Amino acid sequence: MKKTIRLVFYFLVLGFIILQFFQPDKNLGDTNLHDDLFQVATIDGSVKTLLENSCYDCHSNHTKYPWYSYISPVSFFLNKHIVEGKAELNFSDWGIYSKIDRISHLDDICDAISDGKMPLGSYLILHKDASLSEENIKKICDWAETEGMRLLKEE
Amino acid sequence: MKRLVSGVLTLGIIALLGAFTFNINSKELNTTANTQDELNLGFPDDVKKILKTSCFDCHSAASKNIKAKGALNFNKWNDYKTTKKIGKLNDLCELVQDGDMPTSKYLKKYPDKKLNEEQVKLICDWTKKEINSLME
Ligand code: HEC
Ligand code: HEC
Repeated sequence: MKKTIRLVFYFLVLGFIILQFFQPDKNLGDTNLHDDLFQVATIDGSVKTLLENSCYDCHSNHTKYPWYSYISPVSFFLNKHIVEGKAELNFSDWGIYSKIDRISHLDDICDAISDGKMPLGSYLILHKDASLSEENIKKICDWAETEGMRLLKEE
Repeated sequence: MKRLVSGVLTLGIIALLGAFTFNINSKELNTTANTQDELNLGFPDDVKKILKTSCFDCHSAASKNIKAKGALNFNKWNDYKTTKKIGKLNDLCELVQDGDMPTSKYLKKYPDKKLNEEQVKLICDWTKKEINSLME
């Protein structure tokens, strides 16, 4: 009996080690290219920092990977969030979005952070500094509204 | 034994009362829906009819679905800022096109509320037109 348990344990360890050879592609594209939000939008430094710290890991072409994100299966969970997050909203592609899509995203951004939907809860467990205070939520929302109005009025 | 019978009887009466209240409730819901009919959204009639049938259960003041109501409440439509209107209209077309709205759980219960292709087109043609006029 004891032997079986030992065997199962070895099996699991081996499985875990083998799993490490499988890693999803990393999201390590260039940052701040000409279509990036920071290049295209009217946005000040403090809001930039907030978005960069709290959103860019999943909503841009460049993720800052902490050490544990190299461990499978953590890497796969994170990768899933990055792929899905970028499909919904990719700040690196801001310049490619139509004006209507930009206005729409800006409105969704404020909604998503006000409802506490974003940043994702699972992400905040390990990225406490990405959590947004009421004050910072307001800051982002004010910016989103101003930028939306600016786009609306722009010819 | 007598006690049991009277117990069952009381329970029966409570159940009946419960059902009755429910009935009243659903009637109330209907009346609110009727008031929404008079809600002056300025939407074309055919669009409003679709929204009323398939969306208002969750996206109007009478809705008990807080998440849905928070995301979009047609009773508050006229108070939305222009940018919010554009954003919601843009999402609206996308969601019905992808078949994400009404939600699949809701459609299991009310399969006839699913939008057909023609209705989706009608909605998206309208959102595009509406957005363009808001962008002016
Ligand atoms: C851990 C990854 C992650 C982080 C960090 C993150 N997001 Fe997301 N985001 C996602 C995923 C995944 C989706 C798509 C699935 C969903 O809607 O839940 C998404 C969807 C969205 C959407 C569209 C969804 C909707 O319902 O409107 C917006 C807007 C958004 N995120 C904004 C933000 C903002 C703003 C931040 C930073 C404050 C942020 N996200 C941080 C992963 C993330
Ligand atoms: C069973 C309830 C239900 C029905 C019916 C329903 N929805 Fe929704 N809807 C929701 C919920 C819940 C959300 C919020 C989702 C979230 O925040 O993750 C939502 C969100 C939305 C949003 C906001 C998306 C955003 O991010 O801005 C739009 C637009 C929308 N629904 C359109 C519709 C339309 C159009 C219909 C009818 C064709 C419809 N819904 C029917 C439950 C419903």
